[in-house]
Amino acid sequence: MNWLSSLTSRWRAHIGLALLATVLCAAAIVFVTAADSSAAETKPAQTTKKKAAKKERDGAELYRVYCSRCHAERYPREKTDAQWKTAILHMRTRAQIPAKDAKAILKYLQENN
Amino acid sequence: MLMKRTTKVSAVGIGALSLLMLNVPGATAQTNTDLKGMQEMLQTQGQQIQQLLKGRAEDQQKIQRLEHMVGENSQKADRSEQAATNAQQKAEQTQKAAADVAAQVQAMQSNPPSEEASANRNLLVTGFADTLYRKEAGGNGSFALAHFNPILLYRASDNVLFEGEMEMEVAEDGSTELNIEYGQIDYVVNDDLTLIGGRFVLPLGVVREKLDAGWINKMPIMPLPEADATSLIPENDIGVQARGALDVGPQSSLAYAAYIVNGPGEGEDDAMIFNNGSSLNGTPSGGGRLALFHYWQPQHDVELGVSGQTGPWSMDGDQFYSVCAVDAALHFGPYAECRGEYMKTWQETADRGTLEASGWWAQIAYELAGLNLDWPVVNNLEAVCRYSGECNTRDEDGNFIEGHINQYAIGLNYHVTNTMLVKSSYEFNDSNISDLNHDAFTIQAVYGF
Repeated sequence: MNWLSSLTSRWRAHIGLALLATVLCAAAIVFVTAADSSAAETKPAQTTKKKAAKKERDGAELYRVYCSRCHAERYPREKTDAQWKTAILHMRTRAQIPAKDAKAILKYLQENN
Repeated sequence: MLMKRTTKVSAVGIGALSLLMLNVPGATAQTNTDLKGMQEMLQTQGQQIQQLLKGRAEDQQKIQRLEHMVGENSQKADRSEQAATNAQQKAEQTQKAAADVAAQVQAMQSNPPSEEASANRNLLVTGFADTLYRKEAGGNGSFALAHFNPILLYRASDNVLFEGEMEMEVAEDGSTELNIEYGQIDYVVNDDLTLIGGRFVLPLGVVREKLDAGWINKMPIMPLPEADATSLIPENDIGVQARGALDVGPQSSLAYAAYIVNGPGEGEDDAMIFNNGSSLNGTPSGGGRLALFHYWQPQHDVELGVSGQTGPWSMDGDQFYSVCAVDAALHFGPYAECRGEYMKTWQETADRGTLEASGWWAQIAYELAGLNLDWPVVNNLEAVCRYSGECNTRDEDGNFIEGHINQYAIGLNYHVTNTMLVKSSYEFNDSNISDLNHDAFTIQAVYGF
């Protein structure tokens, strides 16, 4: 790591950012590839329905997965449907919750408030 | 019946006349007597006939009156029948209208008027407030209204959100400070990308973005690298940001954030100032964060993140300030949590070379409810330990300070409700910087709303 110490801080920062950008691009490529491959797959309709039903049931579970990462539980009855919609839009951005999981969490909260 | 009576009388009269004509030759004397009797009888019968005719006329008049009455009654009956029909139609119409109203009422009861249709449908006020008491070794203890931070969220549409957090604070000298922690517009482009513009909290590490709220932070004090008096990194800045989260597996996600902001600036005496309003050198800073999150089951997860920022800070734009940070979090059950961060900063200067500083912290928290003790007070308690340190630091005015700080803090929190806590901590500070070498006790009441 001596060569790293010999670099100026500016170059170290630039190298770090370049690495970060590379990782971001790689992640984007992985995502796009995964999205294409999943779209190309032809699954029976019944399987898709079962999977969708499972996802819908997982709203409470996803709520525990993502919200409990940072804070104590907020009860569904604390807010109305519209308020939860606003709060989840905020938390989806702030906590970086994947969109489909955020939608499942919102559905769980709205169905139990 | 009247006609039968008339016919009978006529027959009797004709019979009498016939007998009279047949007996004329043989009985003259006696005939006169008989004739007289017959005349009387005829007169009587004539009178009866007259009476009958008169009765007949009266009967006809009665019949006409009755027929007239029957006609009138028939008309009345027709009118009554028409009125009854009309009344029935009106009743049916009324019944139908009542049924429609009942259906509408039922529909309104089952589907109450949507909040989406109301004027204040999308405005949500959330946030937190806290107050505390702090006593430093060798100093006076003091109460303080530390923060009142309302967060305003306005959802303009399904993919546009305005959000801002105000921080109202009473300073040590009694003055009131009002700051905008962040004020930003979020535009959700699609499921994977959200664009942000305005003043936002920088995604450097996780503390400022996700653990800053008093009811979320598990200690009444902040980790050293993010505490106001010893902060190594800026808290917020003005610019644009792209961020989102991508599914990279059935139970994994990759969070990303990339931004361009005005960056730090140069203050008095070559001090570097964070959270500046405008760009002082015209060249922006750039940065971002990348984090991988994976969970095995709810509340059993791990997150690893790396973040950084670089850009010129000096007035002439020749000296750069750069930061790199890594963060990690681990949850192994609903009661236990481990977190930690490490960060390093480089600040180029014109005459002192590159000033390097580093900071770190690691924290373990455990809710005693996990012990399954049937003691209500204990079940609401949470124990926290944190080790935090810095090698060189920066004061609130942005001056670089050489020295080290090691802080060991233990804390005990009581969860009154899910968002109301009483938190306490005792911190052991070891530093060759005299202002930071004081142990301290802090107790804080905080409420998240």
